[in-house]
Amino acid sequence: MSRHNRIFIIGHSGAGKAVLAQALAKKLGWQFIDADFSMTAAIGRSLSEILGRQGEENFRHCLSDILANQIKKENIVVTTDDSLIVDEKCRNILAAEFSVHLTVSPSVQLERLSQHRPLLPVTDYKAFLQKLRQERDSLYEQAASYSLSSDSGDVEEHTANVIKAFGK
Amino acid sequence: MKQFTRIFIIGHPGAGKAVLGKALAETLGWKFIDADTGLESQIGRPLTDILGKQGVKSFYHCMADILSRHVDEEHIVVTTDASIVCNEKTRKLLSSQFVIYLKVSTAVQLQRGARQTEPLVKPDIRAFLDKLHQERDSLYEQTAHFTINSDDSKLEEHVAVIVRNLHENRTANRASEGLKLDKKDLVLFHKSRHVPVHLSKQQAACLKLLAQGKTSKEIARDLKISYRTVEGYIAKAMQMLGCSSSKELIALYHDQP
Repeated sequence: MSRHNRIFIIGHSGAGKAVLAQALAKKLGWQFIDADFSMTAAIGRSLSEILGRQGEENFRHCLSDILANQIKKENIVVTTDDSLIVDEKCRNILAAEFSVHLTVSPSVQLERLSQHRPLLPVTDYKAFLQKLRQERDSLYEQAASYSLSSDSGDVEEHTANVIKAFGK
Repeated sequence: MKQFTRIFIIGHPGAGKAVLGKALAETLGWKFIDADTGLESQIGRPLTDILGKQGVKSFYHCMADILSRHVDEEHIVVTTDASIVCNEKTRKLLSSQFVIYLKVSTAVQLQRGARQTEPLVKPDIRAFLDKLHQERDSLYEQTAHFTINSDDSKLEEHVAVIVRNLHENRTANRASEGLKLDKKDLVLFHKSRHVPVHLSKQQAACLKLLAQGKTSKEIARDLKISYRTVEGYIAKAMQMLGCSSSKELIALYHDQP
């Protein structure tokens, strides 16, 4: 595992990646970088439906550019786009970094997300999110150096746990 | 009668659309909906560079779908993507809505650091923002019902002005009910381009009364709104119809076929 001063937070939309990353950055005195767009969960459509096949490909390319740019920096906590993990190149980069998989149970995720979302009508939003889980859960696990669940909402404890795992 | 039960906020990144949207929603007891992806500002690249030409097309299509869905809902405050005015279809969808253009200068944008993160890839954010201003300022102006400058960060004041304007719009709508507007009041031909221009009810009501020889203050009394609002409507009508003075505007009104 790399000893760079970088933490990447990976996981589904609604896991609370930004909340944890901000708390971590504050605690460590590092910079928080928000590279999460979570369009799929917000809009209620797959990326290919939102951007088209060509657009999705370009978007992924851009996300991998962003990631490549981040690993040149130090003292950063980065939230990543939920879709990043589908890309093999990105997955390999993340696997070589200190990546935290922030998990969330379906019920908590739905509760956190469905307040104002999705932006487009989805017949069964729960099933829609479930499908993303099936597709990605194991990929997140593969790439992660450390996993924890955000269900309890105890940000302080989670922050402490991540820092401990990072070994700082 | 058309009453505005929806507010759409448009503008550049860093204008504070979400902050204003949330504050407005809270004041009005409406629902806040964040439909701003922030793709460009967060990444620091123009949309075409991120998604490609084909991707941008799909993206706009999706944004139009999102707008179409929300123009039927009531009591909502919606923030929109900064690119929302770059597409004709989305502009058209917004044209009949109560749209606020939240303005911001590049200097203040840089200070606010558009979404708290430095752009993810491109280093020269100032040039990037300046280019977006050049490209979009007039489009925002065109699409908006109402413009407000967020540079002074006086959030409470902005909320109050918008809520007042919203109510005045309602009153104006009610007052203009008494004033009979026909199609020829609502659709006029542009001074130089000779294309039909659709005015809002309030703009049409102000113009009709102006053409009857009334002053802004008299129109304001008739419509039960402030004379500044009347002047705003007239200025907007002038701009939309390609006139440079109220005299030209009156002449254009009387010259319509």
